[in-house]
Amino acid sequence: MSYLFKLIMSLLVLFSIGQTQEVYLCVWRNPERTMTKIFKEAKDYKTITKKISPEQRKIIEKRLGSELLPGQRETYQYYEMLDTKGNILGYIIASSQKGEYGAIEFVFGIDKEKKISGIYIQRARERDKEFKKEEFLKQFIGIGIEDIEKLEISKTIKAKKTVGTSAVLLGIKKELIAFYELVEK
Amino acid sequence: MVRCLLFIIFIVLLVEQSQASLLFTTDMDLRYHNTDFTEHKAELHTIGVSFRKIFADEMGDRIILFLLAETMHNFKENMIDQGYLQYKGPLGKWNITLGRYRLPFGLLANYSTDRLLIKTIEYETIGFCSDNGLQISGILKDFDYAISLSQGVGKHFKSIDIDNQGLITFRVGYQGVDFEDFRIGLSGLTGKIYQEVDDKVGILNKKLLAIDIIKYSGRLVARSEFSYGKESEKTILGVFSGVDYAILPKIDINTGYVLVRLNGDIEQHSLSLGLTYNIFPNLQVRIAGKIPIKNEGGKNELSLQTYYVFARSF
Repeated sequence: MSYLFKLIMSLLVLFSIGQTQEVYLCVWRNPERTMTKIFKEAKDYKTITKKISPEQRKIIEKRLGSELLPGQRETYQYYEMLDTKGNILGYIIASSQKGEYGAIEFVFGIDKEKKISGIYIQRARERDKEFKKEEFLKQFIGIGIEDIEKLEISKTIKAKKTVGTSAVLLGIKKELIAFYELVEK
Repeated sequence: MVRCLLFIIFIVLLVEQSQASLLFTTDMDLRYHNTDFTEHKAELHTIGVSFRKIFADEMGDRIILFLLAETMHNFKENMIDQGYLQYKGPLGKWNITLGRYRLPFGLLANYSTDRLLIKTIEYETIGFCSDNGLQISGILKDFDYAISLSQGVGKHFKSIDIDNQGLITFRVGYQGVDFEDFRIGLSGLTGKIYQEVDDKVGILNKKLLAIDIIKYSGRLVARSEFSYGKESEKTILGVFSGVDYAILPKIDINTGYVLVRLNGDIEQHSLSLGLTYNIFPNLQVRIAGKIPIKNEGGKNELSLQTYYVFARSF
């Protein structure tokens, strides 16, 4: 039986080695601890995973003007925030974008009107600190899917254009487009 | 073990529940190890395969099934590192975990060095990382707690053949919501542990207390643990302190200090220094050297590692 175990393990690893590339998974760390940061009245959350078809991926990438990162091309994950009766209060989206020192992870919430209601940086090791500043992040509050084409750093978003600020902006655009195409449409 | 693995694959493939999400991960750890420039060993250190499946109801995520199966040391050791079912209470205030899980003790609660070259001290203090039992854990505002009642056997022995009286482990931790970059915890452990000491297997009575601290600061992560207690009639003291720092976009420097004393005698006293080259976030090459400090019998060690992890959600 142990040969079967070794065989299964080896086959699964061989399958994954065939996919060797950079992977940027979007992970929401410590959801229980941080969910009330954005939705104060939230009592629980539900993880939702949507598959992205090749056609949907093309549409998202065309609207975004950039390719989706590896690890984000096949599925899209978001979280429904629920009250005590199970009613949806809004949604949490965890995003991961390429920074200079690895992934920049940030989390934002959208309310029932699909406007950004809160945002925070979850994890980043960047030398650049610009994208962590409250005055930069605050500018995204109230932004909805219809506003994303207008978003541009140093024009509509007042901040220095850095690796970090560009990554956050691209991540927000990507997540909102994907949410619209995969959930709302 | 195969039955357990097949059972999980069965669940994953056949239970097509619309409100379920799955994360599949595999990883591979290849190593070369040199001791005192005389002994050499190259091996496929570990292959790990894990599945994490979440089942939700109308009120939110409810059940998590997790399995991490490993084959180690050129396929010589096959085991389930973790395999548990977790029932999640609302808002994470309470969760019940049943199966084999990481013990809530010291740094182990938040940080594992199983796939790293610079090691923490749980194998010297507790004796193992994962155990079979029941755990209640949760989060209350800025604090988290966990209490576990387990067999005290670990993952290397077949627990069914062992009559052990059990192990109680607990941890209370603090991590501010607005200051997620700092964690501190106090943990304790008491009970009987089935452990191999000097090539003999026996039951040791252990009582331990530990304080663990993790601090993230930009490109730097610092971690420390201080453990103190009794191992049968002997006093045990364990100290670990490590710092990882990204010196360049793809290169991290890793350091570690370890002191383990048993009844006043130094069991391990060493300083480690290493480098990690992040080819991708999920493909890394590491090198680390360990030097004994005033420790007769301690050996110089040099290790090289290639580590690859693949993850995909469905």
